[in-house]
Amino acid sequence: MFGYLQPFREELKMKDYKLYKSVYCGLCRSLSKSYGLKSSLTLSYDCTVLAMLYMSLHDTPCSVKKGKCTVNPLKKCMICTCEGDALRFAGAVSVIMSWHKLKDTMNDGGLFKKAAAFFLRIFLRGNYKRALRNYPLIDEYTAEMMKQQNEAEKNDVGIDRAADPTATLISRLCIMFCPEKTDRKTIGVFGYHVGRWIYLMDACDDLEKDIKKKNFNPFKKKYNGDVKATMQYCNEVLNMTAAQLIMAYELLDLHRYKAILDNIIYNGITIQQKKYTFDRYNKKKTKDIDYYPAMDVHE
Amino acid sequence: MKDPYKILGITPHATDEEIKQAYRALAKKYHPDRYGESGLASQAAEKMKEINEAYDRIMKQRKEGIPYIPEDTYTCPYNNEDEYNSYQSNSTGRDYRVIYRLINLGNLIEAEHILNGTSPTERDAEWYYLMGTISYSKGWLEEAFNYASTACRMSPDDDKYKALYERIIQQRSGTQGGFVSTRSGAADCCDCISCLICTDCLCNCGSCS
Amino acid sequence: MGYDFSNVINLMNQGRYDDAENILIAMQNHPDQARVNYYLAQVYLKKGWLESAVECAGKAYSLEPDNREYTDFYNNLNSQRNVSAAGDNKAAKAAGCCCAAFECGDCCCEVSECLGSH
Repeated sequence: MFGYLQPFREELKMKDYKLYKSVYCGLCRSLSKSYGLKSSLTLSYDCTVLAMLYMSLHDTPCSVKKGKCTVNPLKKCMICTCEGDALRFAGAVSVIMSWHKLKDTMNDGGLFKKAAAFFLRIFLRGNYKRALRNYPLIDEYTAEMMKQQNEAEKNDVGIDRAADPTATLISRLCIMFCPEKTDRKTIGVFGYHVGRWIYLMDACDDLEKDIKKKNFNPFKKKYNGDVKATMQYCNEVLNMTAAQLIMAYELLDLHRYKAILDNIIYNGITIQQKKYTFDRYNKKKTKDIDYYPAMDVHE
Repeated sequence: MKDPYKILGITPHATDEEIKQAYRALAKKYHPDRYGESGLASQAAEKMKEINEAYDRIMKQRKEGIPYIPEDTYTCPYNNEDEYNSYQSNSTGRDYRVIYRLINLGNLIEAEHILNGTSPTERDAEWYYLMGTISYSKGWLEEAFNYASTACRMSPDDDKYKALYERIIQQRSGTQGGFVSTRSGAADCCDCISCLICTDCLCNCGSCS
Repeated sequence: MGYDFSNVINLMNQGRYDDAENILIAMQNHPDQARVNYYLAQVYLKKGWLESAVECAGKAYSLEPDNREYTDFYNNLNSQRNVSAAGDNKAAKAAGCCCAAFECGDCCCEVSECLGSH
């Protein structure tokens, strides 16, 4: 589920890329400080984006300093710290969502996965409890999302209804952290379609595996044997979601970090969609994946 | 009110054609047809209103020859008839309305010529302020700085003079272009809202937070 | 449950999309099914249920293909999907192109150019 929302490095200015990385490292450090070292395992790109969005909406300045990597003390990195709650909030989302996802895997996955999830959950229990104490509402929303998700999958529903729980969760989280001056409707719609986009990307990514293992996948109904054609359809669905989230994004009042967020929204989303719906099925080896869409692709 | 150039996303040096292009691009972006049924129509309409107002202001300012002063805290006084008619002469009793009118019409040469005709003993703070405004518009920025400083020195309580002086000081600090050499003190780049360099930057300076 | 849509429109304006949806779904016997589907599409769009929106907009269009309102709405939605001829390189470049909202049907934009124009 995590890691689809990323910047497209090649189009980012160096200073912005460094700032992005420093927020990533800063989030890792904040996770460790607020919820314990082990919680850094739950770090993801998506939560980094969440933190940046939070900081951008609140116009929080941050300071970036050299420091030691939280996980590998021999490595040096630039670490971002900021006033306010952005990193703590994003960290809590990270830990709590991972916790709930592991529970889901425990109920759903194969034997090995179930066991791994079981032990990881015990391992992260203390960290989860700390995050839960600070942000019980995040836990409540996430639990609600998982419940709706499971029901939807049991009932083999259509795409919209299947994506709705995740979309609603992200929407609620965005409304939770936005400042007074932000229009709730706008940020709610933005969050909804970001959540929807992430869910559908995950579904796209897992389509072939879900068909094989006969698992639920909202795109299965469109599958008629030709995975490439189905991917064309998936891309259209994703395009529409992207269009909606962009419309809302363009109404937000962002200043700091806007360059990075713009890159994620306008470039990152495009590249990721291309990667998962097109490149994968049009190249012989994944290492041939074309990161420069401007160049013509000929078989 | 926010800087209209920032709202349109252009520099103050943009040509009229560039301004029109920027406006058209934004109008397309926030067009009601695009947002019509999305549920965000009213938010888009508000944004469009802001853009329209910014565009109208810029075009009006350019037509009337009003120099661009960033951050919009400076408004050229006596822009309209009411203000013009309610002009209170300053302490020396000199009537500078003609000069204001000429400046607004963009006739800087004439305005400067008349002012230069004033004998040195009669040059009051208002005279220096007006010379500063003319020099600024001409692009003679060092002169503008000197005139503005003198006006402020002679009449420290006048907001008009202060506003012009502060504008110039800000530009000299480097925050609107160029290099910011000072990192602390009154001219701290990070105090400025329009701090282009600091925004999003990887600066390690402690004062930038 | 009258045969006019004013109560549905009111609910939509108040943001009560689920209520509006329920009323419209119950209007299966309404003589103007095209309009029912058209409003249902609008409700789904506002809810963020885009596939359902496209489906209903398509139904409204197919029931009354001469209706300008329905045609424009359906086309608008489809342009966001950036449907293009399958199999050629345009489709490759168009994959994930987010500028579809401007109905750039000939999505020949290179990603970086496209983004430059935003």
